[in-house]
Amino acid sequence: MRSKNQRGWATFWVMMLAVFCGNARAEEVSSDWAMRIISAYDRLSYQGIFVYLKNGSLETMEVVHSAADGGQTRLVSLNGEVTEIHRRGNQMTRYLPQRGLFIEGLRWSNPFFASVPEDISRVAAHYTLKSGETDRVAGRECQRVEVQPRDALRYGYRLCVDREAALVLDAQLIGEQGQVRQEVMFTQLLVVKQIDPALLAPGMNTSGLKRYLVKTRTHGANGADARTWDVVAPPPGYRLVFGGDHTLPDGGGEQEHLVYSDGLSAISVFIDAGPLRGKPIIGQTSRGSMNAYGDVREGHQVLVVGEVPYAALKAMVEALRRRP
Amino acid sequence: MSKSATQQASKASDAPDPGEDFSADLSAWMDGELSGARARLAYRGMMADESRRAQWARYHLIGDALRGSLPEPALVDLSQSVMAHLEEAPARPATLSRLMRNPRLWGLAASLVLASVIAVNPWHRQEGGQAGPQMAQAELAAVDPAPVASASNATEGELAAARLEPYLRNHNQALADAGEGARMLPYLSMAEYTAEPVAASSP
Repeated sequence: MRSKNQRGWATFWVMMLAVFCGNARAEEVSSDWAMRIISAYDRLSYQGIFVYLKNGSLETMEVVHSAADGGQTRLVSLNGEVTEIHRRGNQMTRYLPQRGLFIEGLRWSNPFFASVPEDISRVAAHYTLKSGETDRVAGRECQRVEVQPRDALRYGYRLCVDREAALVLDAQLIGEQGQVRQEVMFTQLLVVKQIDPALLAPGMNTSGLKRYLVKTRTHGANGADARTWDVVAPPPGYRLVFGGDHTLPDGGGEQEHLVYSDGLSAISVFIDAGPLRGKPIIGQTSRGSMNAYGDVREGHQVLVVGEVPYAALKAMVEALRRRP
Repeated sequence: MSKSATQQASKASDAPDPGEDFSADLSAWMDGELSGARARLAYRGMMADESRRAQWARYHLIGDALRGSLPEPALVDLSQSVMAHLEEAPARPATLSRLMRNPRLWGLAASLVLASVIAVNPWHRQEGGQAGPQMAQAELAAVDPAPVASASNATEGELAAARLEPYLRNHNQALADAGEGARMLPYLSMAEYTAEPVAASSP
């Protein structure tokens, strides 16, 4: 997984460097520079504060990231409910002391642009990249970059990338009308040589907290042959990157899960294996920056989610067929 | 309610500055004294303008400093940064409003105002004239009983969110498994969701 991500990072950042240099041909960019940026997130340790929108509220979180020992991260909410999220390796734990519990079993994925294509032409076919002006975010000089979709089946992004540390200081998800649907922005960022291990420990007494475990049983990841459903004509640019099934908690039954990605945006298609239970979910909703669309196909509940416009979600549902 | 430090500071100058109204609105918004259309305008103005967002962040930092609620593992340069901002705004008063002194009131007011800015009503949002989702309250209550917040005292929106939660979590985790990463926006997949206890089970 790491190697795939590394290749993706390489592609994305080579593309970014091309933008920075005003050079449309990524191949001409120095590979040394590219590798320096690619490795930034693995080798840098930093502390910072970022803000984002959650359910209509502006939230503030502190992040402490250490590159040592395979990478450790601690996120601490600074307003609202006391929440801490800890990551060691690819395992994540969420502490909710006000509820008297902590949750394990969550998997961590790379927080910065891990979702990038191996094939640069894949992105270029569906997005355009435009460099903007040099700006300042969190007191640091950064380069504005716009990632604009070529059609209405994906969202765009406005970024500001730290010119020195290659970290993303500001990232906006741009909706169909050009509106900011979601934003994550650092207001403080300090790159340091080493993180004090004490800053990575929970800021609370965890001995009295009740442990909860997320029980997600996944079978046959990437097992395309085991699929019983297929999206016969996914929206342009999207291709299958995951096929498996889950067991939903609390007797929710089995569900088949297909993930399609265009390299930057991803869409999940869930099909409940069993018959409908009660009134189905039909229609659209959103949760944060994620959209969801529910429908019924051949008597099965279908739910499609993704950080993409509803048009893309509906196109997925319309093209869903049971495999012969 | 007395005016907060930020509000009074923003109103200290009588110069006809085009940004003055926004500054006043921003500080009033932070004080929970701005509602409805003005609050929405303040939010849109902030999101559309880099300097205004920086102003918002600065006000929050100052507010945190005045309340003595800066994060415990504070950044090395945080105090210097706060002091620099305080020096830039000499008109800040020595006393704090009741709201500023009380973090609970501060949070409540902010939540109410911000909730009115972007109201998200899960499963009932209509867009482009299309029919909204259909889900009965009774059936919602029967889905995924929460071990922490019981279904009986949860709102319809909370229950709908709880039903959606396993799907969103599986989406993120499948992307992680596939090596596709989670999201384009940094840290969002980790920070955005709070309803996981509803979907989690005790061992």
